[in-house]
Formats: sequence, C-alpha cells, structure tokens
Amino acid sequence: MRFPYKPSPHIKANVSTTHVLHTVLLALLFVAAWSIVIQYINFGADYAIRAVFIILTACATAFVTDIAFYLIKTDGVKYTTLGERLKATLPKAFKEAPLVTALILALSLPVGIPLYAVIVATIFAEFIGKLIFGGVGSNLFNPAAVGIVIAGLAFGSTIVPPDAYAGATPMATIASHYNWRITEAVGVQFICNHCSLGHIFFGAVRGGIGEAARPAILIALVFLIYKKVIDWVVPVVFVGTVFVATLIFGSYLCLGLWYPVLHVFSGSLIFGAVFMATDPVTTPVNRQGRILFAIFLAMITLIIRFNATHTEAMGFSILIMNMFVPFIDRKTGNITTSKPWAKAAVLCIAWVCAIGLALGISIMLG
Amino acid sequence: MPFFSQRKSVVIRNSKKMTESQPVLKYLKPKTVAIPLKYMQSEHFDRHVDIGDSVKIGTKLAAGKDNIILFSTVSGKVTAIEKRDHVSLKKADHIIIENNFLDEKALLIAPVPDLKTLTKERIGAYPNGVLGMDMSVFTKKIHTVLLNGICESYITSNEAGMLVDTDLLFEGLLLLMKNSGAEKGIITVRKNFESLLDVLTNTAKKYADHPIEIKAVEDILPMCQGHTPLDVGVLTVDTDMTIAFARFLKTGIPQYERIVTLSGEGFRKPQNVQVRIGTLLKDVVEAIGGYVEGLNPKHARLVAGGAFRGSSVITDDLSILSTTNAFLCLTDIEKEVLPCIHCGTCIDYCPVGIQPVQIAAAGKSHELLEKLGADRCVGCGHCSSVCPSFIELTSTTTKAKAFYLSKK
Repeated sequence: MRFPYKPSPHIKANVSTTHVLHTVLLALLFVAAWSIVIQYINFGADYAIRAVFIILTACATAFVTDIAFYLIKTDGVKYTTLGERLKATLPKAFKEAPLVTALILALSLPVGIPLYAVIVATIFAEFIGKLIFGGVGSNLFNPAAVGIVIAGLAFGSTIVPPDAYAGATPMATIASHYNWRITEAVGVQFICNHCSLGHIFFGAVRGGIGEAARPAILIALVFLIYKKVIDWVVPVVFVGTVFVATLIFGSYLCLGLWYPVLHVFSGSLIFGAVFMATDPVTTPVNRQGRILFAIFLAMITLIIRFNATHTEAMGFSILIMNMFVPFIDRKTGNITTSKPWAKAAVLCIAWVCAIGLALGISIMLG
Repeated sequence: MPFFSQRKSVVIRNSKKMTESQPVLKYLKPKTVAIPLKYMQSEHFDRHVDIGDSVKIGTKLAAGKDNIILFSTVSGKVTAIEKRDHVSLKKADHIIIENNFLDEKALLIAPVPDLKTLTKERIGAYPNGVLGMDMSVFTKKIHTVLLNGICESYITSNEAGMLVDTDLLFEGLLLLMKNSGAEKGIITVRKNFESLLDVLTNTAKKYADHPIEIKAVEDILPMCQGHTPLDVGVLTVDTDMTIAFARFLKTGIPQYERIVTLSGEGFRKPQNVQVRIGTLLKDVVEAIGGYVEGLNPKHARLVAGGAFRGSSVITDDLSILSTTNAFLCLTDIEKEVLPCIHCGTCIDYCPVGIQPVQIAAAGKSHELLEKLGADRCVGCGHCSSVCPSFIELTSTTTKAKAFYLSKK
C-alpha cells in the first residue's frame, strides 16, 4: 500500500485558533449581558434597550462588512450564480471573527452615541483595521481600537447631551475639568456628591456600555486565564504599573490611596487591559515583549490621561503601542541577550523609565 | 527562568495505551529478508557475498567505512540484489536472502558467557563498528550512565524488550559503566507502567551491590531542556541498544531480531511484534491482521518511528531495520491551516528557547536568522504539534536553519 509523504511531526494540537476566538467571544458575550443588566438596574430600560441596539448594530455591521469584502474579493474564483458566491463567502467572513471586534468596539462606546456613528466606526474597525491588512492574523492595529478612536474623534460631539442620555461621565468631569490634577477637597467632594468607589466599580456611573461591568470583566479575566487563552502578565503588569504610577502622582498631589484606585477603576482601563492589550495578533509574541508592551502601554495611557484633552486614553495608547510591536518582537527575539537576568534587568529599567517619563512629562506640563 | 521561556512539556502518555498491555507477537520465520546496503548515513559498502551464496545467521554480507558490518539475519541463500524502497525515502540496493528455516549460526566474535569477567581493556579492544557505538572516546568525564526507558509517543517496543531481557539490560548497563568509568547507573521508566517498574525493581535487588537506581518519571516530551546530557557528564543510552550489545558479547552473534511496535488508529490490532531484522513490513502488517477496513491511504500516514520525530514513509514494502523501533499508521491528522495569530504557543514549548513564529516570518534575512538563533533548531517537532493554527512550523524552521547554514 502506498502512502503520501508528509513532514514530521505527525501529531497536531487539539485546540484550534477558532476555538480560542470562540472562548474570547463567550467572555465578551458574558460582559455584554452583564452590562445590559447593569444599564437596566442603574438607569432604566431606556438605557438598556439603547445598549442592546448599539451592540446588535455593531455586530451586524461587522458581519455585513466582511461578507461585502469577500463578495468582491474572490481570489480569481469564478462563480456562476450570486447564491453560490454568497455560499463561498460565508465561511470566510466567519473566520475573520467579526463578532469579537464588534463586541469589543460596541462595549467601549457610550450609550449616548447615535447608531449611524456606530455603523461608521464598525466599518472603519473591520475594513481599515483588519481586512485591508489581509484579515485576522495580519492586522497591525487592534481593529476595535481603530473603531473606538474613529468614534471618539469623528462623532465625539454627536453624543446625545447629558440630560437625555449618557451624561458627563465622572471620568470626563475629572479629566476635562482638572486633567486628573485634583485636590483632596475636590476629590472628596466629587466622591461624596457623585459617586463612591463602589459605585464606580459596580457601574452605577455613566460611561462606556461594557466598561461599567467591571465585576464581569474581572470574572472574564479569570476565565480567559484559566482557559489559557490570554497571558496573565499583560493585564497584571499594565494595571500594576498604572496603580504604582498614579500612587506616586497621588502622593505628589497629597492625595490618599483612593486616587490610584479611582484611576484603575475608571474609564475603559480594566476593559482595555483584559480585552485589547491581550489580543495576540497585535501584541508581541513572547513574554518579555508582552511585559514591555504592557509597561509602555501604561505609560502612554497615563500621559494621555494627564495631559491630553481627549478623555478616553485606552484606544489611542493601544494604537500607539501596536506600532512598536514589530520592533519589540525583533529586539526580544535576539537570542544573544536571552539570559534571564538580562531580560529581568531590561524590564526593571523599562519599568522605572516608563513611570518616570509618565510622571515627569505630566508634572512638567502641569 | 521558567517565567520568560515557559518551556512546557507535552504529555504523551495516552498514545502508549494501545500497545503496552498487548502480548508480543513472534513473527520469526519470514520467507525472505531484505538487508539494505545502507546503514544510517553510510551508503558505500563492499559486498562480501554474491547471488547463489549460502549464508548463516551472522554471516558477513558487506563491510563499510567506520567498521560497519552488515550481516545476515536468517540462514539460507542469497537470491537477488535489487533496488528497493528504503525507510530513508531513497531507493537503496538490498540483498535478498531466502530463508531455509534451519537457523544455523555463524559466530562473529568469540562469545563471553560471563560478562562480569570482561575488563575495560577488553571492551575497548573491540572495533567500534562491531559494538554499534563509539565505546572509547569521551571528551568529558562521565559520572552517570542513564538508560532511557521512555520512548516517544506510541512506542512501547523498548519496554517490551526490557520486560523480556531484564538481566541482559542490567549486565549491559554494568558494562557501559565499566567502560565509561561512570560511578552510577540509572534506568528511567515511566511512572504509569507499573508492571515494568515492578520487574525492574525486583531485578535491581539482584544487583544491589552495584550503584544502579531505577527512576520512575513522568511520560512527557521533552525530558531535558537547555543542556545536552553529555554537557553535564551523563551518557544516555537507548535500552534496546544496551540489551543488543550485552547479548552480542554473550553469544558472539550480532543482533538479528528486534521488537517493533506497530501502532496507530490505522492498524486493526496494534501490537508489538518480534521480527528478524530485514523482514518486510507488509508481511508483518498482514500477520497482525492488516489495516482497518476502508482505510484510505491518501488520508493516512505511515510513519517510521514516533509521531514527533518519526519520518513519513511512502510505502509499506520496506524492510525493518535494526534502527526502526516502530511503524505507525495514523489517520485523521490533516487539518486545514489557519492564519497565525501570534499566540506564542510554539515559543512556550520550544526546548531550545528559539522562536519558531519569528523565524518563519524572518524569511531569507540572514542577519535576522542569526539573531533569532535559527541554527539551534533540533527539529523536535513540538512547535508544529502544539500550534493551534496547524502551521508546519518544524518544516519552516528546519528549512530556515538549512538556509542559514548554507549561507554561513
């Protein structure tokens, strides 16, 4: 009997990339469900229905964008009927994981955003962020972050005014009025009048749809780490660096321990740390690189938070760090500097430099 | 530090269940055997026999460089010398011998019934090729001889051999220790194969005055990472080879039989078979009941060796060599290749700490390949076996290594 020749090894993994994407999707759906419930409990059915519409719109748009893209790009294959062409397109569209991108994007948007803005942002995320580079696996930038930045820059002013929906988020108040440089009195007044840290944690404060579901995000984090889908060092190092840096900044402003906690639990920081900073495609491949990525991601997030006019830092900092991923990969792949102590030393120096730079720039400009 | 390069191991335990408890089938009367005029990398042999010559077990058929001797494994008549398929995928000349079933034997060296009487000088005086290994030169001081009783996935032939020839195993180990000057001998067996562990522990009591230790270890791949055993003064020897070596010195006839594992989902009754070296694989497959019904060879693989390092062969019309410990017929392996998502799993499992995903992306950049250490690849196959996108990373990495070395 004759057999075909195949290269060794003759054993294959029992988990597939598709399986990994489905696990992430499951975690995202859990967060989405939790945040819809949170919207309903805290602000009423009106908000919850809007949130559902935003999520569904984003998912549908992403899927339609993928189908449209592959209907046009057939790789030279000729189809006689449109039905045949559509049939060949569907599996390709599914493979691009449109729902993962759409959910991350939708959950980062505020409830007050108009639906047409969601559609435009999703098309940008899916097409410019992913398909144009050659699909999932080849994209340089995190597609969801592309959409978030588009939504923020192009449609920031169209978000329905405070009384009707969303409202000035506590994040926005602190960020735009004070650029996070608050005094003890302002902070205490703010926390007494508007909310408590507990309120912020449980999402009783207006903000992005998904970022309010912090307990759900933490459960999703534990689930994803348990399933070995994401590397735990990225969120831990990122949040840890933000905490330490803001603790130092807080003591510079003579503020208590609540200040770094407020930083960590406000805005999309936790959401971004779990779902965007851990995206394998747009982050470094090895652990040393991933830690470097997390450290400098924290640095850029803080610099934007302390100094920029735009309130939402996560999307920008993710995109900026995405550009450095090939560079980080190349430098950390060098086997001549692969001694563990050398790696640890590089990381320690990078960590100190990142915190120093973030605080130095902020204090200097402030 | 496991923090940076996680150096994970693959657990391979389950694949051995197919054959570990099956009795060894004896298939010792082949009609013909085919001895290839090729051994490992050597292809130039001076033939000592011609068509029509009668031979006995142990008769010298051909001699090559480095004292490699090819000998007959049955008694009978040389009927043909022809080009046939070889495990290495290239065709090679084979000497075909028809068996007369008399099993007459010709001694190659004078037998030593009591191996304890052999001195270090006597062992050193045997030509290297006769022993099948280099017994004299060690650049480093050897302090331990380690007999590795754990084979690759699916393979249990070495364990079957240890169960049958336990005494020869210990005697061989003592000879190896005497020759290399090692103070200690270790035999490793897998933890979850208790019957073998019991047999070895009981036999070890007989050799209680020698520093021999039986170690039960986890059935994982790879076993050691970062260093080669010789770097740390450990000589690792295959158990099959140790038994063959002891038996050869004792009887004066080189190894003419071996146990080979036929396993995998493609065989109807996977089991270990004791065969004459040179027996045709298709005859043995027939003897164990053939392939599963409806096997489509286009979607299956026939592998000589284990699933990680074994090489795929294109036909079952091959002769079984002294170096092939298993043939696997594997089905349902083929999976559609997905795009790489840079998850880094291949990096976590690489035993030498290189980054297959980056080497694959480096293309033909010589400078990058040097920085990434492409030449360190040992071709173990772990990266391909754990990749969730089913990319043939081992192929790309070994190709990159070959390219790098060719341009050096």
